[in-house]
Amino acid sequence: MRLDKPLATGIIFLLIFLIGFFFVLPKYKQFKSVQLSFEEIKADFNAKYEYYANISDIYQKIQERKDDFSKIDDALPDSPNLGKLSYYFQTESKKSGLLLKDLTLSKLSSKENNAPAEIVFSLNLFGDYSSMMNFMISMEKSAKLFDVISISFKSSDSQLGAVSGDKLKSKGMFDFMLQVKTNSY
Amino acid sequence: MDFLIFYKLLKNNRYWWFDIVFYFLVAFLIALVLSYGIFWIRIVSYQKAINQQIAVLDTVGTEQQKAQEKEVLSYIQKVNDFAGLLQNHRFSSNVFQLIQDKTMPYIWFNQFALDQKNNSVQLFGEADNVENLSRQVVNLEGSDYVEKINLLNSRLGLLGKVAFNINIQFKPNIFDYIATATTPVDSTNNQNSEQGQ
Repeated sequence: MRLDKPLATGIIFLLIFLIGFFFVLPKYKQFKSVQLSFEEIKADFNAKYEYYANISDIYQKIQERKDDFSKIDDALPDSPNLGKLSYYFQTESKKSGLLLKDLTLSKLSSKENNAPAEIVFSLNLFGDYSSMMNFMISMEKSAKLFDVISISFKSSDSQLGAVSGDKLKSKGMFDFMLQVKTNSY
Repeated sequence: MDFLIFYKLLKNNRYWWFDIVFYFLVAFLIALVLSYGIFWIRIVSYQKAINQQIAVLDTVGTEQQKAQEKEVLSYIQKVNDFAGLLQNHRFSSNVFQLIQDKTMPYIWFNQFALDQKNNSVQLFGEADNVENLSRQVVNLEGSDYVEKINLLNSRLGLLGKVAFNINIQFKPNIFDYIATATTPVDSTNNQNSEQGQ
């Protein structure tokens, strides 16, 4: 039996077209898409691996410098710790030689967008000027960040109480009104 | 177009190039079928690899690593917040130090109000005479940290002393941290003190 080459050529040509268009081309597209997915997953894996390697590295560094970071924890505690704060004001004012007559929580803002909340205390203190300076300096040196928003004082006795130049800054007793701001989460 | 003419022409005559075309097309068909098979095998192998990779991917973020991540991210936020707070942290004692340094003899203050938000201080006091009060005001105005004095009231008292109140507007840098102890370094201090005496 002799092969009818022109007819066979036509049929082969048609088969090439049909197989190519309906089978091989879609398979090729599927192959490309799967290949791309694989590359993406591989890239994801590498990125995630590198990310956690960095996290682990930073974590180790934090552990090595735990003392430094605990200062930040003190400065920005996870909760307002109002009891601790009032204890601090009481002990520090006493240490500085002042009498804490009144302590009021003026503001406790709710934290927004994970930003630190503001805590404002109003303090009424009684004592001399040097003690007040000691108290302010102790607050400024404290690991916790205190900002004195406002301070006012007046002499309890206008004749005796006065603050003058180079000599000693205080000659009497004053009533100090302070607004102190600090932060927590 | 009548394809039958081409068909008869090709069937009745043996063209040498037609064999080449025929075998090329046969080879091409075989290659096409093979490539389909190859694509199929590769797809299956890629899908296996993807499944393996997904399984491996799940092992990267372990519970321990996630706990570390949580702690690290919390510290990063804390450090950023702390840096922001530290940048805005203000040292109010600098104002007192400056006023102490700038206050001349025979001037007494008995009332003081600091408004940190507006960088201003209101002072009430007494001077032994008007000249000393004027020197005091000049002395304060000469400070590098004083922006201006925007209120000055004085009243002569019964014993010849002058009661006054002044409002000092400070430059914002008065509240910045000053490394040299708690006393603000003021270049004009000595000069003005000498002037005052």
